[in-house]
Amino acid sequence: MAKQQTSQRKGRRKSSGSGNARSSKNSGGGNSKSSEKRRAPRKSSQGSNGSQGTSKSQQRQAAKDADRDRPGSPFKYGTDEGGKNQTGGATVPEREYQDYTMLHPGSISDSDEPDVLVDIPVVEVEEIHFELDNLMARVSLHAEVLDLVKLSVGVHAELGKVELNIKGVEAQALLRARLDHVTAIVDRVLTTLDRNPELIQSIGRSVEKLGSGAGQAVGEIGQGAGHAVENVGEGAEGAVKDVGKGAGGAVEDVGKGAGGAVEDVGKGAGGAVEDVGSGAGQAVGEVGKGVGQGAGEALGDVGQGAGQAVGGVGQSLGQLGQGAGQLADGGGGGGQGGNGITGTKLAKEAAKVIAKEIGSAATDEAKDLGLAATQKAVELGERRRQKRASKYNATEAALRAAEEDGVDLDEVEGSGAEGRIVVRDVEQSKQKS
Amino acid sequence: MSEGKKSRPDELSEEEIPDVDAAFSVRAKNLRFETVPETNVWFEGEPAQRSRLDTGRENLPDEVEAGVTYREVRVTWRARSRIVHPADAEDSSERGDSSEP
Repeated sequence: MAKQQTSQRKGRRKSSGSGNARSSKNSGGGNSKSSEKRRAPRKSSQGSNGSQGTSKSQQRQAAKDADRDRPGSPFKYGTDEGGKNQTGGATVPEREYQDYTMLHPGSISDSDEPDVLVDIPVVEVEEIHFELDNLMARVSLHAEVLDLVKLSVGVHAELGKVELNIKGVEAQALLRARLDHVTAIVDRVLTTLDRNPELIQSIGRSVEKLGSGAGQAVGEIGQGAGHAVENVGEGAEGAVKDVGKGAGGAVEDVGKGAGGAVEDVGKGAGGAVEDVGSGAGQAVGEVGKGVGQGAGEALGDVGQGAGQAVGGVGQSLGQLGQGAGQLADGGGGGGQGGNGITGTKLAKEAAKVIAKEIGSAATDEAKDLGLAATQKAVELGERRRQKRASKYNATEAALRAAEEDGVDLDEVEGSGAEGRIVVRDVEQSKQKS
Repeated sequence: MSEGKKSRPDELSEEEIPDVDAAFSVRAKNLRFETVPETNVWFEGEPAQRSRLDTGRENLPDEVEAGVTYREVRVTWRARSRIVHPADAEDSSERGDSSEP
């Protein structure tokens, strides 16, 4: 493995914060031989800035300034005010390493002060022989807030097989990470949710529709479509299919119908929650997992009770709708909390109720779900696919809202990810008209 | 001296403050490659990023050759990247509004 011979010294500037900076990971085999003679830093005292001037250092300083001011130099850091020294124009690193300083951490303004700073002022090596294989270096910054916000930025450098000799080496490195921008983004997302609790209330509203339409059950629900809770449908469909296999062809049809129906439930809930935003979308992903698991377990009970067959799936879905509706009624106000936690909890609770209701109803009386339910589910599936094929770049909740409000989506400009039209856009368009 | 600079529509401007900034500089009296490596540099960002890569070379060609000794070499390399988030647009628009007289 290659030896990394570097010297690292904290810069004069404050190094704090909770960033995550990684660098120089050598993932391949290799070896290096080097003899290093690091120039010992001279002690400097505040206020004795002018005492180090020698003809050689002055020449170096002039060359350094010329380097920095050279047109196109990547290291020309805006203003060159010499940092914040109280006693002179040169920074502490510059004074200590003025023979070598090529990069200028002190020449950036206060507003640019990094939260994480790795300043390797200078490494002087007489000779290095490198044999490296697949050197990977990465500097990155990651930030996550619950499941609401996920941010990352970084640079990767990859070096294949290399063998080289270097003599008379002077090397310098600076790694900096700033968290102000990340903090501002997180703050803005949370503030947006705080100022627009309807984004979270929209979850409750959509689930409420699910409840009110319990009698028509699956028709209303099926119009929605989304990704998050799709696992419900898959899990349920698979489980009920097993029921069908065990109990006979007739029951298999029931299973398919129930699977489609439950999948549509998932679509509706997923589409509703999708409007909360990309971060909330991830939160709903968890809901999807929960629902998927719950539905899988619940419908596992269907398998056990297959002999008792398939009675009141319609009734069970009605109960499901009622339960979800009640939950939505109570959860709508949860949006006032101003963050995604309430919305996530709400959706999770809805998922639990859904799974519970499906399980109990299907276990006890999954008998009389007949051909009508199967046909209904098939119709719903077709409708959902038609929606998916829709030309609009809009969430399905937004499509539904547009239909209800009579808004022409051609006139709506999307503000979601990649210009996607969300419910908020529809509502704003309606208000404008 | 040769300088390489990648220009992209989404390139970070000089004025923008990067979230991540990595800079390296190497000077050498003699530099000799026995094996010339393949190099690759790329940026990543979520939900998106704007980046810029600036490099500078002195007495070193864009494509080095194995077995050739280069003298009085200097290489500078700086990579900067900044997260791009939809909230940035809202932020900048608000700033624009507030800055109006």
